[in-house]
Amino acid sequence: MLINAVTESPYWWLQVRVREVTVHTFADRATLGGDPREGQILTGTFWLVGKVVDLGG
Amino acid sequence: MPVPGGGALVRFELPQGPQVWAQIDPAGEIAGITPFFATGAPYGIAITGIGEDPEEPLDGWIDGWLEPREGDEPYSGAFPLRTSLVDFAVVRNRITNVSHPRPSGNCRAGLRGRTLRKRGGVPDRSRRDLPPSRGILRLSGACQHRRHARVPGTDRA
Repeated sequence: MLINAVTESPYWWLQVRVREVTVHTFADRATLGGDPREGQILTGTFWLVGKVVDLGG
Repeated sequence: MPVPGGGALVRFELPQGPQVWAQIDPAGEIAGITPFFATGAPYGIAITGIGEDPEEPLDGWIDGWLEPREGDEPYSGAFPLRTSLVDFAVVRNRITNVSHPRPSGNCRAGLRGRTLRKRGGVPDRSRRDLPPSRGILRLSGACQHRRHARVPGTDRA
């Protein structure tokens, strides 16, 4: 769990396994409806945002 | 960082990883804000398409396959996805200028990006197919709505 340094609200950093890839996702307690535990299955709607590190061609 | 054609992207960040990217239009006004979390984890992607928001030209997304397994087959990765890009405005030209032999087949997005300004997802009408190319991304997902969470073998949610 992390704390928003501006609002001081807690939120979760979740590592979600999707097939063989681990996707990092973030959610507050209200969205999750509780505190997550390792091994749980999460289904929901996600906004996926990327930043380009390298375009190798 | 300056955007080709005018405007800029401005990044605000905190030490733990959260960032906010502000899109500044050529008139100096804030055109949009996108949250991002720098986890440090890189992902390979075979880019197969690109699109921009018809109403917000500094906003856009790419289609692709995550972690492609075969060097000459872009449709070989873990799964297809669509992701918004926080730096779309400054990398768009670089993405569209990279070209490679085009394989047969068509990519359909399995996940969709969404901006805070829209309901129901990014419109497809601006999508362009691209000759597949490779890139490295950092990704962060924001859970916007939980439908279901459970521990296998228990009734507790």
